[in-house]
Amino acid sequence: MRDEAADEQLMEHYRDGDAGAFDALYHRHKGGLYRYLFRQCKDKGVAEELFQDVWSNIIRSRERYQPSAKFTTFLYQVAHNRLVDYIRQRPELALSLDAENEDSDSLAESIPAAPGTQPEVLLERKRLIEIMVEQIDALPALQREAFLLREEAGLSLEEIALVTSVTPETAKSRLRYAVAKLRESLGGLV
Amino acid sequence: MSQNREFEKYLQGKSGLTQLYADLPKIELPDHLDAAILAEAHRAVGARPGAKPKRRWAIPLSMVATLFLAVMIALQFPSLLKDAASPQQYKEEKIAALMDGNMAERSASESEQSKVVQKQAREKFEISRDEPATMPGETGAPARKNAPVFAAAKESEADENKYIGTTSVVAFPPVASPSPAPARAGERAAMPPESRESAGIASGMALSKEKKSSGKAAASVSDSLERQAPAVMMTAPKPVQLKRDLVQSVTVDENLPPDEWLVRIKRLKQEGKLDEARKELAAFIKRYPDHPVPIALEIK
Repeated sequence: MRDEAADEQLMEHYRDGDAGAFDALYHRHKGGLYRYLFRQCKDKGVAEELFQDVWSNIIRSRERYQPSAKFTTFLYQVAHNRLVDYIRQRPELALSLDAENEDSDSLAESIPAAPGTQPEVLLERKRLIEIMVEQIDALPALQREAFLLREEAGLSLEEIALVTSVTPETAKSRLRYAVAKLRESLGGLV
Repeated sequence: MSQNREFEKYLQGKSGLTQLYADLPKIELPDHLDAAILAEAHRAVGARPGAKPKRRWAIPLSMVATLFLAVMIALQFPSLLKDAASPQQYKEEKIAALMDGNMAERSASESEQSKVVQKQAREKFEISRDEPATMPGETGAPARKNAPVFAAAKESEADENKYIGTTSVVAFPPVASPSPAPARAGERAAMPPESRESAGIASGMALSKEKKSSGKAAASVSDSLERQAPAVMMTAPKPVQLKRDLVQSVTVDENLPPDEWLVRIKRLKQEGKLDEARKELAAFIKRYPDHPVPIALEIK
């Protein structure tokens, strides 16, 4: 029954003292949040530290929680802010807007169209996954964040914009460039 | 433009990119991190891991139960609402109830008081029975002390009889002494006149009310009773009718024929017991006002 409850209900139950609701909520989101943090900071120890900080923040702010927005948005907003704080303390990891390619048209022209079902894709799936992991790491930080928020948290463009404190158009642009680059790196096989 | 179409497909979840990302090797979280975070969460709400959650329905349920109870009380006791509507009537009823309660309480209290008096009198009477009527060197004192107590015991019994509604003193069973008269009769001979008089009072209580005596003798005996048993007199109310009975019983046998009575008075006069003779003569004149009295019996 608890597994079917919405995130917002679980968080409200936890706010009202139901520790079991937090357990369900945690197990539902721990994997995606941890991968989001790990792929962003690219360090397992740092990711664990940030991961614990994020959940501690959620626990402390339970009394102020209002289910006006999705819990996922709330959770990743906290994670984004914590990540930004961490990166600010380390200039070498600073998010670079310069890496973002604004020339969408030229990029779009360079990515080939999906060739459809190809047996080679299935055979080379393992190799593609390895390439994708490398390309995700190679993405500019903001584009990677938008892509991870979309893939790990399942956020919409509006929610990504809300989490990252940008306009929906900016969020859409970042996500579109991230997808185009990945497709390009994968040779149009996906 | 094809990029836009691919991006729309990606947003709709129809792109192979999402499928490929889902196949990425999962990065597992360390168990100790799970345990630490869950412990912190449970500590924050004051619950142990695995503890049952709070009953969220408890407060609404209690409110509903309270409301239900209030409605039931209002339905079951409409008189309460009526009393609230007319406080003056309620006040009058309350006062009447209190007065009834006071009456019952007072009756119970008086009954209890009379029982206590009776108990005290019995105890004193038992003591008086155990003691000899005359002690060496004390000719009349013990008897004087004992006799009024016995009289008081009888009197308290009479009081109780009056309060509980029995018919008369004589009808009440002699609780203090099963047969005081024979014992007194034996003792009378050893008693001085005053003691004999007091013993006569006690035994006279058991006699009928038809016996009469002079007013002076009655008053003196009554005073003697009040002096010698003040404690009992104070606690037990003293009915007038009983006192009259006692007074009447002070005199000698009034059923004596006139001639025998006159002979007795004459003998008393000859023995020098002028006071007794005078009292007997007064009682005789009262008893037989038309009977001629010899001049020789007149006592100055």
